[in-house]
Amino acid sequence: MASTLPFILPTVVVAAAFNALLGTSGWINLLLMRIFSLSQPPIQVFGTLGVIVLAHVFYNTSIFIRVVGTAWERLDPKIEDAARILSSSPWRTFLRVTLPLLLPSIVSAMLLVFLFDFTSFGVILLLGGVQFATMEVEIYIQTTQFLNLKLAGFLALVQLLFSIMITYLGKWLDEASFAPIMPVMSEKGLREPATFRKKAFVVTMGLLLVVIMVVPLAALILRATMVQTVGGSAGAFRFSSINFQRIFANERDALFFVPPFIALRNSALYAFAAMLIALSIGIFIVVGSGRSTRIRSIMDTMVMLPLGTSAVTLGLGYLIAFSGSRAMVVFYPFLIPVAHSLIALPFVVRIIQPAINAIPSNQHEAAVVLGVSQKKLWWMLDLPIIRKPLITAAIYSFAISLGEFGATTFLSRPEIPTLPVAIFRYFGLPGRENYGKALAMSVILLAACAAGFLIIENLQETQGLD
Amino acid sequence: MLKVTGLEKHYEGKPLLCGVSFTLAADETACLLARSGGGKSTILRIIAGLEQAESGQVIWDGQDLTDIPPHRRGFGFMFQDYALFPHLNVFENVAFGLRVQKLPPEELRERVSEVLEMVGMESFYERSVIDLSGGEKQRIAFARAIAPSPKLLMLDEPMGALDRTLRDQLLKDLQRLLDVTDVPVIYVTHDQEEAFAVADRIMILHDGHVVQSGKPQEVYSHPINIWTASFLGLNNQMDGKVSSLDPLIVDTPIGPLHIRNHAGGLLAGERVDLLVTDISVNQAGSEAPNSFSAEVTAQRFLGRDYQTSLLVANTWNAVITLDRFLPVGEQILITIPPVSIYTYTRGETHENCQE
Repeated sequence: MASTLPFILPTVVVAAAFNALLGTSGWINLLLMRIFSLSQPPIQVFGTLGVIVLAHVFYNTSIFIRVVGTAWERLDPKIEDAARILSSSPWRTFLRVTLPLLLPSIVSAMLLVFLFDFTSFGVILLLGGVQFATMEVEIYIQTTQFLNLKLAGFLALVQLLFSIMITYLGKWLDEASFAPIMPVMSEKGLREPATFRKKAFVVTMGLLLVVIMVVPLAALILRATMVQTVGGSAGAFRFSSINFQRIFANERDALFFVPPFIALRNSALYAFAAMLIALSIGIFIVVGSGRSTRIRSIMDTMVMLPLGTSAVTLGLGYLIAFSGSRAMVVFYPFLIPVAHSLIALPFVVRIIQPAINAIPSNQHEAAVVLGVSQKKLWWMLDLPIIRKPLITAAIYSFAISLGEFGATTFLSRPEIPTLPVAIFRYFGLPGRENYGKALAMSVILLAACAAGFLIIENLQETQGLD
Repeated sequence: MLKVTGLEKHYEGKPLLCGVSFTLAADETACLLARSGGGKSTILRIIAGLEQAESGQVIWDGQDLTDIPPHRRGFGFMFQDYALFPHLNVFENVAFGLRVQKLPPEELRERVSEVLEMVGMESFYERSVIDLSGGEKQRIAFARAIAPSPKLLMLDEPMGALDRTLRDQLLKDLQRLLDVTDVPVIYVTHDQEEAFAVADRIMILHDGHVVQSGKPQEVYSHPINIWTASFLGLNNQMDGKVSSLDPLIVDTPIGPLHIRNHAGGLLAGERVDLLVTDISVNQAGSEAPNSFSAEVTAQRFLGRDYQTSLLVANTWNAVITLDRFLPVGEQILITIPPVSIYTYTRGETHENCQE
């Protein structure tokens, strides 16, 4: 479902999208200036709670749809049918049967949304909401501006505690839900809207989704690929690749003398390294924990911890652990990829583990009886079976690293920026050119993530057995 | 009571139901028997209002139900995998339909106990339906379906998810339950034994039509066509050519067969399919008509009887049930009683659905 795309979109891209839509040089302001012949942008949303909430809604809607939608899809329609035949009206059936059955997933989506917003960092920082600082932003400010590592560390601990509590609550809810007894049916729960009212409802919701999801991204792409023709701020627009050309132009006056495409190269290298590390560790964990439920439950908690912890806390941790030491000099090139891989690890494990566990044990036994040695089992059986999940996990970790902002802000050096860090800096600089560069880089990041997303979707569609 | 006329429905572009029509009397337990995927569940879902037919009508007591939503039809339905409400306990599952009727708490409690007692689950009130075994789930599903005293009860493969031993036991219970609840019942299954066990009347669904309808004994002893015969497990079949009409004699690979069991309509020289419903093993020296030599080719012990495979006159394979053991290779004499042979004219398959 396309609504899951925002889920893997980097925060900087989302912030850039809302900037391109609602910012001082964004579409809405430009259009209003043109219509009413204003000389100043009429809407000042930056640093307001409104735009921050809106950007979070953009993320949260996709989480909600993903979590609740999946549960709903798996809900056996016969259970609702049974209620209908027992004289229960459609509305009553929804209230008494569907809603209670979806409740665990709704609560779990709410927790997830809470956790994401609680640890929100990039969006707030980039949309100028420092006065609405979350703990993450405060940790960042305390660290980078006041160099108050003690306070930052304390905040990080509090944050960590909260996250772990919420993660455990979510895990407990997951186990308490009806998921295991509900017959798993992939998409059998999907029904065509039959009546006119149902169709109208579906169309309305679809339009609403388009407004929330598509409009900001379209605004970003158009804002990056169009420039105002000469003739003032209220002039007409035309398509141009000038913003993209500027990224690759080797301008010596660029930020810290680093042209933007170097940041792109850095990010690609880091992402590749992070992907390799995350996959290796992920496979090791999944295969190593094997089928022993006790080891797996311990491993699960350990592996999922980075998911609960925020990237900022992680970055701060690395900074404190390595800063000032000689180790920093030696390890520096690895710090960012390692931190990124740690962030990607929960996703990698969650993607690979079900695939490995789904291999029936008698399949191994069948292979062994047919003369395959234990050592070869992995190469002959397991690896080909989990090939697609493995590719999915690889793309996920690559995309996560490519767009990672929170931890990177603590670890990247000014002269070796990553793409998101460069975007953040360019947005902070005055001038139309810098704005254009930031937008163009955001589009590149968006394109990379969208491409990865498309490959993943395609893989899942062609997945044979599951 | 219930009248179904001309139901048509396509499934994934292919015709599934092509004019299904039947009626159901009060107190009647009718069994809809068809192969898996034959559309029998769809018929129930259409009657229940869960699906709409493309054409055709469902009429109850003279009223067309097409525009009545499922929750206003007052029918009962038991789903194949029971579809119990996982978030409710046993009591609330059974009470679900009664709560809609806004029954006073006293009465509601009484009715729930009554039906739970009926299915022998009175001690399960507070239990979660998640922990129940397959058989227990089935009983609760039945109790839930009959609790609101439906006007019509539909059972969709109620034994489908159970293993064999449990099935035999539950089939007996279900027979008893269907006897005490005097509502009309439509029972859907692909298992003929099950159908024969519970039904007053059997309706065989094939190629989107009800091809035969009647008492179980009738249907079993007089299959309407060769497909139905095979479907019911009557496999002693061969082909032949009518050589004489009076008396009816058909030439077959094993020789001419005398037949005294025909409704007429055959032509001399016509090719026909034959179904043999009985074969007897002769005492030596018998000179009855339709006697042949046969060789025992296989024996399977069924527990009391033996299923014996024969090669008749070196050409025709037949299977009979015998109460004694015969060694493989034994030569015997058999007789096919002229009254136990049915003729079916060729190409008498039902016309297919129009695309």
